Amino acid sequence: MSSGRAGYTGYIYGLAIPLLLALCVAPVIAAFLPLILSPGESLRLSGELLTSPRLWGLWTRSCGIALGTALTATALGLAIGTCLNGPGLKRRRWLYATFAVPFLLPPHVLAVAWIDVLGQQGLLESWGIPTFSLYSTTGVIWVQCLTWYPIPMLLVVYRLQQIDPHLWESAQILSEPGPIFRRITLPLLYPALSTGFLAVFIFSLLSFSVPSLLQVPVFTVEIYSSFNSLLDQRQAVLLSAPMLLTGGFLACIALRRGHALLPTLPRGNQGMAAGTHYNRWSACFLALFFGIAVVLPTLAMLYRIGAPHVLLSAWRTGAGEIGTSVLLGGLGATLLLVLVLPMTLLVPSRPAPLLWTSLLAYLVSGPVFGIGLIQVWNHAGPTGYLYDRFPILLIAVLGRYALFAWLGCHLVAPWLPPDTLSAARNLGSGKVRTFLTITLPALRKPLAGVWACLFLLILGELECIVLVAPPGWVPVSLRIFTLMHYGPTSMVSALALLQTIVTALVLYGLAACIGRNKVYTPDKSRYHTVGR
Amino acid sequence: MKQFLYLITAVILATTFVGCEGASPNTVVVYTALDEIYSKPILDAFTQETGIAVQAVYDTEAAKTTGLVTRLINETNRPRCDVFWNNEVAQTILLKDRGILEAYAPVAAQDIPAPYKDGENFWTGFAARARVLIYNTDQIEDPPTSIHDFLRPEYRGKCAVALPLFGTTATHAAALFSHWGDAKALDFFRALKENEVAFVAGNGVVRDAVARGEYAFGLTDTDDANGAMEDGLPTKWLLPDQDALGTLLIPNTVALVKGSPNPTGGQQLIEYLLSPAVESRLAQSRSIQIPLNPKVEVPENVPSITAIRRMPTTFEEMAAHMESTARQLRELLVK
Repeated sequence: MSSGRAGYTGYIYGLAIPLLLALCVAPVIAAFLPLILSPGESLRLSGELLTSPRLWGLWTRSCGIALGTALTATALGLAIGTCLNGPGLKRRRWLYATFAVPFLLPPHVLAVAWIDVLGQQGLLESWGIPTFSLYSTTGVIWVQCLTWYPIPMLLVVYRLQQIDPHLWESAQILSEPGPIFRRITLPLLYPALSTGFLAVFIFSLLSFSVPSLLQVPVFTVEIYSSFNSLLDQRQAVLLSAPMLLTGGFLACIALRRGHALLPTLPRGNQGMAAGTHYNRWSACFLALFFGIAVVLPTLAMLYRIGAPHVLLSAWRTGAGEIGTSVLLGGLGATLLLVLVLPMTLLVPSRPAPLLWTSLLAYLVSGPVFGIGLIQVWNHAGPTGYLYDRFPILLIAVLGRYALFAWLGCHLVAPWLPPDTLSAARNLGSGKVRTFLTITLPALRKPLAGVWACLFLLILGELECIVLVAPPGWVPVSLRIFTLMHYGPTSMVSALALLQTIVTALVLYGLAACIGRNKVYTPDKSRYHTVGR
Repeated sequence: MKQFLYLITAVILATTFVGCEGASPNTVVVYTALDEIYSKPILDAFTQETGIAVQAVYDTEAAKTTGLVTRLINETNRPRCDVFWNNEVAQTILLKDRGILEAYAPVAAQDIPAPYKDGENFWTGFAARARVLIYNTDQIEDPPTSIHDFLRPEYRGKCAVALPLFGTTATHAAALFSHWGDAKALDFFRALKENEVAFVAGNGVVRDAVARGEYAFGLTDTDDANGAMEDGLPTKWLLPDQDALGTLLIPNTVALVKGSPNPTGGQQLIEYLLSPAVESRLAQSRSIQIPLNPKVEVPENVPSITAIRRMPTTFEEMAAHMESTARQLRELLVK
């Protein structure tokens, strides 16, 4: 048994390590190579940057915004997640989906919608409702936390569904809701909250478009201006180092806390209510929040679109780009799961190489990774052939989002039924057969959730693929960002709305497929759909 | 499971082989920073006329993100692009200085005036935009006429300019630094900051904010300003400083990329883009690009090149000041 295990480990790592090196590490090394090759110059440049008070000011502001965004989004995610998971609430899955709508839109599109709502001549002011200045640090935090709160919210919901209902019932008999929340719910939710916090913090730290639209100078402006205004790639690459160090430091802390990124609770009640008891206060809170976070920006977008013919025109001119995005998102998410899931489940004891390499690829800023991709792939021969075509987009998103595939796969691992796996092992089923016939079907629902998250992240990808998108393969995120500054703004809103609708349809289709119950019939070695 | 993996493999292979004509002699790859809504119809017309397919990569907001210029710099070992069609001039000159462009003297450029083309034939200008003042007609009756009006106390906090690190505003800033010298230009930008001029994300944002009435006036390009007027928004625009400093004109530029996969096709495309028909088409479009070729008839709503008082700065001087200007302005404005 142990030799078989070692064989599998060797096989998987033999496949995984070269792939990870090619997808995640090689572009980062290629981007940093000019700095590595001239250490004297790099040290001098580092000294200049480290002694600049202006840069420290920008860095402090960036960290402050990231911290504010992450704290607020996590608090919102906790509140909404627990309300949505409370007993007595009907059509819960629809509510999860509805409250996750802001995550379907790129942050810069939501920022424009919020300018229409909270701007000086915005919707609220026209109704005589006083507002705060959106063009401020508070404004950036507001827009970003209302974009990314679905991440901690969904993690909280997922975690609550893992809590043993007996534990919950016992606690309710013995204590009041307040102490239960403080002493039981919160500690159990810690892994979800810390993972959500970390994800939002990193998203916010790397964000450029929202602070830029809201006129708040942040550290990423320095990186972009080094690329564009100064054409000084060496400085730009060096400036991305603090992002790497900060993200790496946070990941280290999270891992040192033991289970922060690796929830170890067994599979729980799967939808049994383990949240705050649903009452009129939570209903009011959910309704109010829904009105603010979802309805207001949607109204602003519809107001911008104005007439239905704009939607039609957006569809005529943007259907190709939307198709490219859906293709890229679908293929990218699927391939990420195909690559990462076996590594995570079959060799669960050694996550470090995958974690650190994928973290490296995400934390180095998007443009730096894009430059690295050009250096690695744009050569005569097979790599150049791939670089000139659609696969370079796939390669880019596989490298950038391996981290989230890894996180997702670790989050779904506790859903595996250990008794069934033991039984399969005792009956002599091999690892691969067990994986294909038991593990995958058992995990299909949580894996669908991970697939959906990866799909959404890839749809929003902009900063890396802007450098490598080949002619004829433009994702819609790129087109929206192009139009935002030059084209008609109604078209931007129309394209964003169409993207949201198409994304929702894809996810609905996925939910419909996954929702079917399947049973395994050993004699035919295949699954049959038996109903809904 | 097997079927599923076969399906995925088939889709990847299909997407790999689609667009195989990338390097074929009958295809030209163009990187263009001009808005897709204006450039795509022209490229389609070229294909219709010549039978040469064009594969275009469009820029995202004139290098707001790391756009086409960064791509070209990093693709030098194996250029994918044949023709670079930039919507401004300074970065084209920077590419020439880095040895990324190939000299080519287009026949169609003979009528373009000398200041708008490179002396060594590395690039040629056509169809210019002007930097203009856009103002909200509901808020201003007596419009400002100079960029110095941004410093007037009555307009404190009421005007907007794009952050002068990106796009044509960066080019404009470099022109001012080149013309006035570093000290005077830096004082001007410092005074703008002290008068609470908003430095926003781009020229389109200036246009939208002025149209919404968030700001009384701002500085933008003719294409943005005219677009707002055509949309019926309460705005008008004018050419600033016509009695003294002059207005900055920024032409489109087109250049052949060194070592490009299809130089012959690239040259054909360059000839087409520099033809009077294309300049005329761009002048008649919503972007009202100003024709540089004197043979092109200028529409009524487009200012004539001969009637505009230009800023007396050469494009080469501007380009030479781009980097130092950006460094100084970044120190001043981004903190």
